Amino acid sequence: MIDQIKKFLEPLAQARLTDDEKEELRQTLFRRLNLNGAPAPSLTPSPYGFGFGRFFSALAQGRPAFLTAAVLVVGIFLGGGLSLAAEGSLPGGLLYPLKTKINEPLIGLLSPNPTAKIWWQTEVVNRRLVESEQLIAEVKTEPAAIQNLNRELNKQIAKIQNDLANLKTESGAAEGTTVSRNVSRSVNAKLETDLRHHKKSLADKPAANVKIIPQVEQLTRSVGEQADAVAKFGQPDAAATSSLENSMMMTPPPETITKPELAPAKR
Amino acid sequence: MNKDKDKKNEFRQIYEEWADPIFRHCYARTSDREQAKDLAQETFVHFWNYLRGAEAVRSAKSLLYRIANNLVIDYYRKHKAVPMSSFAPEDQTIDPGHDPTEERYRQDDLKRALAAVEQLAAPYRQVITMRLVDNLSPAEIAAILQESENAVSIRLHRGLKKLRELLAQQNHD
Repeated sequence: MIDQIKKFLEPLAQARLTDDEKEELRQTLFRRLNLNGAPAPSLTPSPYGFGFGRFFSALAQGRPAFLTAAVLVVGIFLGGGLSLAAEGSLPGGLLYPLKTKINEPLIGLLSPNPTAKIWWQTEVVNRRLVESEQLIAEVKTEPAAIQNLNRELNKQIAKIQNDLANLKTESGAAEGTTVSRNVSRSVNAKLETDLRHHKKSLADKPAANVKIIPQVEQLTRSVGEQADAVAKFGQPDAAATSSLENSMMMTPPPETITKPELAPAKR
Repeated sequence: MNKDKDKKNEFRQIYEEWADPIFRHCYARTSDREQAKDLAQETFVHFWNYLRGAEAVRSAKSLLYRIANNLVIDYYRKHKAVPMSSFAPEDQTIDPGHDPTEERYRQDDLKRALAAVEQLAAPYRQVITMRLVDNLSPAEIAAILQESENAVSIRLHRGLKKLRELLAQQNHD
């Protein structure tokens, strides 16, 4: 009898994603988790002419690595390498305003659509998080620098949530809701991943300057709270959570669910 | 940096190997193809979060099924009823190489299979799906659900009995 049941369930046991679905899922997932690792634009001659076709195609897709490369190219022509140098600067550095007030907004302006702009903004959040870890390792870092960075981080995350809310409005009612729900979930999942990763790094990293320890502790707490907050954003209801601890919670399944009447199937 | 790169490569391989099985598990549990894709995606997101923070993952298979199971349970809590309208075999791509009539029979068989497991109470549907759709052994199911093998076997036995009754009723109709 079990063989009979197995045979009956065979169509279900053979269900699979279509090739297109699998690819779409892969793309969405890898983009959400920032696993794409886009290669740098190639400047070697291509069969299509000047070799910029692939570069501009990736630019049109709004991929962050290409956007950064684009602004650096523009910046190099205009600023004689200052834009490039500014990319490595930290809060308090001479070129830091060029990085945050010119380079980053310019990349945002180059984004081909509002969704790509939001994805770029998540990269900006990641940059602030990386900067915070670098600052902590510097002996000369002052408490105010950590406090300012914490403030900027919170502002940037609030901006992303605001832009996600506006995305729904701009796209129109029904369609926009579906599109923005998916974008919101993906963006917030990426934010949560980055925030939790950096929270762990901040907690593990000792501050090079003892004066900044209270500010670093405050920053670490704040990053954790933001991770918890974004985990709830973009969910259908406020009670949902995407944290691993909750997903791993072993609670017994409900005894019954409402079952529809089985309609007799006819061939 | 190399460690991070290794983890990314590991994750990519795990995705290629387990995307279909995890999707299939979610589909059998929810009867909703789109929802199953969403749940499968969430499963891999959670898995990646875990992989990044952990030194090593002993069993990717076990962890993926455990995460998927818990996400399905969360889904049940939010969606008390799974309506028959959630069946959407029509939106599956029909392979142009297959005889359309044959494809239609396959879709009908799939529909009947889904309808049958949907009739089962959630605890039975859970273990029947894992045993007969996912092809997991009772020991593997016990490890995933963190229950004893004995408890899993009893539930499987009862679930199979219920499924037999449903099929008998279907054949009678």
